[in-house]
Amino acid sequence: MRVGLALLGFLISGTNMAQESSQSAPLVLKDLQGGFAGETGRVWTISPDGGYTVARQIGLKELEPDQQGRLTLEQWAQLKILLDRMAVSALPRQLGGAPQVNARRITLSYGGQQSVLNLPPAGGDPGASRSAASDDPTRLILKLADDLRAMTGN
Amino acid sequence: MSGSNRYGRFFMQSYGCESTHRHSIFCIVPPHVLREIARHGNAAQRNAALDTLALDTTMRTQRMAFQLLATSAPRPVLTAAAPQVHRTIYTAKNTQTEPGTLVRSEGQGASGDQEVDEAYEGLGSTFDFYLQNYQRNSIDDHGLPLIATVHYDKKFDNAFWDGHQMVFGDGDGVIFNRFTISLDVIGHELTHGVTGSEANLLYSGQSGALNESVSDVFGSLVKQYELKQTASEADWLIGAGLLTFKDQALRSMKAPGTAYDNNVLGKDPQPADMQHYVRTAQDNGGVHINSGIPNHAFYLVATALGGNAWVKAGQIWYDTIRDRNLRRTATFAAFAGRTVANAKRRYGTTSTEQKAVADAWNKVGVKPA
Repeated sequence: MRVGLALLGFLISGTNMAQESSQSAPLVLKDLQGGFAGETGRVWTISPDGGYTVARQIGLKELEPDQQGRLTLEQWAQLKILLDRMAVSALPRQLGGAPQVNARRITLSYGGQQSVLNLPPAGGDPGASRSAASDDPTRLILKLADDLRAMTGN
Repeated sequence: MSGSNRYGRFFMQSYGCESTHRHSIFCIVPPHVLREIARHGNAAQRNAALDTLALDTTMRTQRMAFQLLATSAPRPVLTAAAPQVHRTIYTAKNTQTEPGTLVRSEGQGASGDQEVDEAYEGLGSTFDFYLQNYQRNSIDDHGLPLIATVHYDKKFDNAFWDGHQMVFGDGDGVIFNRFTISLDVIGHELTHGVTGSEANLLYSGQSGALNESVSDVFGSLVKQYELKQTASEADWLIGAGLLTFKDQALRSMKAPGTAYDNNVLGKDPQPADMQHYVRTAQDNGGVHINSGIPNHAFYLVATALGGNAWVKAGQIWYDTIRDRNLRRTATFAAFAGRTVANAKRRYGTTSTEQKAVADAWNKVGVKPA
């Protein structure tokens, strides 16, 4: 009974997500580290139907995706919860202070909004960021990056 | 928290120092104890001890100087210890751990790990370059120990100075080779440390592109000094050998925009002059792109003056990053103005050097302010 209710809730949630996301652009998350070669790292693009691609970025150039797939319904639900908590539209455009040499930079684009999180080189002290308040935007963006990496096996 | 503060705090906590000062040098830990910790402590303890020793030497010298100045007795001549490189190389074993596991310390023989040994040699070459040519004692001019971590992460396509130490990736082997392969990579990244302790150019827009360019300039000069090349003999390529594509590099100071052209990365997007300045929100306003313009200006100065580029052109650029009139938000025009002023100051108002600098900026479309 409990499983059935949970599944029903999930399907409703999934339907809403599909309806909402069908009207929005893909979710794009870039996790880049600055250095000698410019900014390098990975770009996750999640389309409204749950399909995703993962590509490398080197400097200004985003390479052809080297990985693609589809998120499971559970993964979709997990992302939806996180995105709701983040209230992406209310995220500041810049987080984490002024740009610095060789920063790690996470850029989230979703629903026509973009938010850039500047972190120290190599991410600084991720433990401190991850132990911040549960609604702290820095913590939520880091969690989104961690989740996407885990979901897509990167 | 920055790396040095992180280690400093760790050290203070580890050794029971009750202090609110930024550095652990205010602890009452004598140098011989610090040296023992540096030799036998774990990685974090070793780093903290090395940092503290470097700062401690400076503070002790200053303290002695103040004491001597305060007396009316005849003052003996102070002779500081000769600057000496202190290198420590770690491996992250393909994780994101910094600094990782110690592999090679100063004075030890080759480890047999190519990246460890290239990093060790590259740090040494960069230290020597700054000391021999500009009398600069390491990154901070106070003998900062040089630390590097190699084998960072898996197939990591970059190398960076994190404000405290160097970090090198192995490269993916498909587009990038190992990042210790080119000496100018090491010279470039360590120069970010030099700039950070001098002009500290803001890492955005034109000042950010200048920050990148200064690193390319001195990265290239470290390589030229090692190879004993004249300006006309040098290839002026940045990151030659780093890309797996034959005869391609990451940037060209001689001909920005021509360093690479392949079906994976496309074409080198660097401009050579202001007419082709790239406006973009990415890369902090294109700091790795528009650096092509001041890079090319330096190349023009160096080749106009001839000989070894680090002697005159390099000296003018070095004077400029140490120039107290250079603001950290400097535009290309403001930086150009200071290079002309420093060329005049060092070589004379009507000198060939001053003219070469002014002409070079003019050719890339920058009017010195």
